[in-house]
Amino acid sequence: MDPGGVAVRQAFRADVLLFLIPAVFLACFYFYPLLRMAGLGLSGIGSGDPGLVRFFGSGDFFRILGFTFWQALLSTLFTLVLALPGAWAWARCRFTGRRFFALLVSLPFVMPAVVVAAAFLSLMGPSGLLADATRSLERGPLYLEDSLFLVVLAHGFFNYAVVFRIVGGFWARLPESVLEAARMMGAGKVRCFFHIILPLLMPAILSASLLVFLFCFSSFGVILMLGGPAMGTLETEIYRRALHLFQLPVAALLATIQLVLNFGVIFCQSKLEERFRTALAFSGRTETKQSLPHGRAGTLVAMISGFFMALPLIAMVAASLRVGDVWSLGAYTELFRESGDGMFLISPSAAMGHSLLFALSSMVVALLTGLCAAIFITKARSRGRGVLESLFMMPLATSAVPLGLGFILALHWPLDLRGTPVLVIAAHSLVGFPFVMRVLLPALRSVPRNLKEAAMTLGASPSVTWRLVVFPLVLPAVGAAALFAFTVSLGEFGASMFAVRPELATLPVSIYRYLSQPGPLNYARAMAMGVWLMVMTAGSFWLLSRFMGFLTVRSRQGGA
Amino acid sequence: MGFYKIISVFLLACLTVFPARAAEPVLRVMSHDSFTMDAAQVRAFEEAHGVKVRFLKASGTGAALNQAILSRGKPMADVFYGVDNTFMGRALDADIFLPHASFHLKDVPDDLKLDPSFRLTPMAYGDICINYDRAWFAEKGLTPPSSLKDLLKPEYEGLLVVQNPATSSPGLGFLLATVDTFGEEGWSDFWRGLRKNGVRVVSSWKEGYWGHFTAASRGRYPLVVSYAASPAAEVHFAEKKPDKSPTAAITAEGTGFRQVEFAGILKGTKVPDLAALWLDWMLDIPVQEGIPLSMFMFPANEKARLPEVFQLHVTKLEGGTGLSAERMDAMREAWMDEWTRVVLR
Repeated sequence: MDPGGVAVRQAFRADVLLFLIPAVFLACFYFYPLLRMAGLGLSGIGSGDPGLVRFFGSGDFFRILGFTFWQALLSTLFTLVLALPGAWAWARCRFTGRRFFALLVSLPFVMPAVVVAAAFLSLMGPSGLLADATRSLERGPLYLEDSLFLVVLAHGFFNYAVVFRIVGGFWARLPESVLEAARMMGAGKVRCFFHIILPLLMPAILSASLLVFLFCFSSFGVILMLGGPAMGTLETEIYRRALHLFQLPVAALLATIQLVLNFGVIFCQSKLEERFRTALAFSGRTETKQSLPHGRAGTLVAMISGFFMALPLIAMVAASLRVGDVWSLGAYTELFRESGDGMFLISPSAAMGHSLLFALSSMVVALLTGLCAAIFITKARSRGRGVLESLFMMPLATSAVPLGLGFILALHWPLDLRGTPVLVIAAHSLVGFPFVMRVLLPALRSVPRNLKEAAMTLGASPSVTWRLVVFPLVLPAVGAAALFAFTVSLGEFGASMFAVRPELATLPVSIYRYLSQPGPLNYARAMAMGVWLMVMTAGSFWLLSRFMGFLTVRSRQGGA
Repeated sequence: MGFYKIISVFLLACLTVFPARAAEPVLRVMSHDSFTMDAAQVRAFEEAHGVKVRFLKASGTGAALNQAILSRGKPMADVFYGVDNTFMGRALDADIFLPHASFHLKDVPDDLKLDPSFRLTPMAYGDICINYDRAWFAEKGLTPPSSLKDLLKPEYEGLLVVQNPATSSPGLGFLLATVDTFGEEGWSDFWRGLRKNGVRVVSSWKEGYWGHFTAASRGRYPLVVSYAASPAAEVHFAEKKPDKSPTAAITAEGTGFRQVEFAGILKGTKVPDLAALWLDWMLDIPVQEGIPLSMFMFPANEKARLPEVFQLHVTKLEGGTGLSAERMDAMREAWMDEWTRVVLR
């Protein structure tokens, strides 16, 4: 037996495991439940379901589909316009409060849609701060209600962080040497930007735009709460048909169509990204603060962006401090009291505990499965790679309703998982998994091949190469992925609503429950819990960034 | 190969998370989102019968029932709480409940016993009706409307906010009230008139109440579709309890819809006797007396006393609902479609 053969076989076995872990996870908790759900839609076609005939015969379908595309496109463009300057300021300029700025603009992404919508209404709604401030105007108070404009605005606010993190993170890692070389050859700032920076940033921008488009395409809470009842997208229509009109075949067919469309978008993008991908030396860390130039423009941009992003959050804090028409801390003192209003309005502190527990466990699951999947995809050379990558990305844009119904249809055998915490962890990990992949894939891909080859030539086995060469290089990305999975779970709402047992309610679910109760104190309490969620999210971002900083420093020392 | 060791340890750890078989029997209760009850009472039930009670919830009345129907034969729970009379026909058609005629039904008024086969036991009822902001109307020197027809008058233009019946259970109740009052011929004309008079439609109760109702949210609409018991909630949840509720309900005959909530034992349960005990216990006076302040509905058991805040601040809807469960079930979708066409498009 030659040692090379053993190594190859070992590597092969490892590859199989790398593939199997995420594949089995997705098959059990994602594809199987969804297939069961899709089966309902197909059987509806087979039996000529009258609801199906009425819905698809009336032209409603194309109206809804068209509108879904249109609002997602508008929202994506708006988000780009809004967030790119911020990403630039953060990546290329030094200014006071740079870290705080990054934290602030990242918060909304992981806030539950219920809370974001409520925050927007308390800012710009008919009774919001804006209306109050403009009451004395001649043409009456300014406010927004039930409009596409409000939806696009909220989507921009919501998804700012996606563009900011992806493009900003990429931008910060652009090697200074490229720019210097360009400048040395006499390129002006504008030319430098359009001919060098923009093409280099293109994969990141495209990738971020695609994500934003997908989120807006399948956006639910924002549309439902800010778009008004007449506004219908695929997602809200699935919800209405499935849960209120009992037209399961229609809902299932719509969900299937939505899935196919989402898959198409994801697939196209992964192809595009491949074409745009430019060989980019990966420095493995962001620029240190000191090396960035001071920029007055950057400060200004950050201030304007930060102001816009902070306003709804401030409005929410204001709403939490008012009980009825009176300014009061009542909602906050209530937070620390065991609620006496029945057993389902669990105390906010208990809800916070559950949220943390679920977020931690699903972070572990998402990181494990996502890491395996990302490594496998990076290694794979076959043609099916693009399809596989897109398949793994699918949970990103799947609505909670079909998945939740699929759980009920499918997961009672061999073990009845319905109503167990396993389901919540599975659902949260499903949401986190694609984020982990999104963050890890580019990092893994930009590990220079020659480094790995050098290590192998020097006699290191694949696993040793991985541990000593690749892993330290992608460690910051792993940290970022964990951070994403954790915070996404903290704010997850739709699937939790289906899966969570009431006594294990998470913070977003509790907020929703308090919002469903009458009485001014309950409203203020919900807002106060929203503020608490915001603080928790901010805290976890901060903690993890500390942790990541520590890891990066250590790995650098270890390498020296 | 530390990496793979970590993975195997982790997978093992995952397996241990699966619920261990408890020695105590478990009673699983499935319900909608607004179901709640006193924790101490549940604990007392658990101790009295040596059982652990687990709750499952879905969002909203329709959603919960839909989940129960989807898991037919392999139920996720043993008892289901919260089928209302608008969805009762569907629940009975799907045949997911076992009959159980509780001893306490003798204390329940006949007009709540809508299922003669006793697969559904009435537990509570609530009146869906219009609430108004007392201070707003006093300030404007305007009398609140006293009938649905009044809402078409010019002085009430742009004052009312209602919920979409396709997404909200009070919204559906209010639509049914208009069908009941104006009949098959007239209800859509009424809504056409409401639309002309600037009715505001929202998706959910909370959006209407918290987002637009002047008394609850500094909104612009002093009239909102809510429940007859909401004024009591306004007092109960106020930080300093006012003598008079800031809101009031319009409960004249023909202005609202009485929603009856039922519970039933799910077919396929392994603990039918425990489930029957639970239903009896829920219909007994102590639990029934807790319903008003936990769910803001009226108890089905006549012998249950109402709390003081209800006695002072709640009026009941006069007259009943003329729509039968069969007709509601047969027509619900057609009515909603027509409503969407008339009001939203």
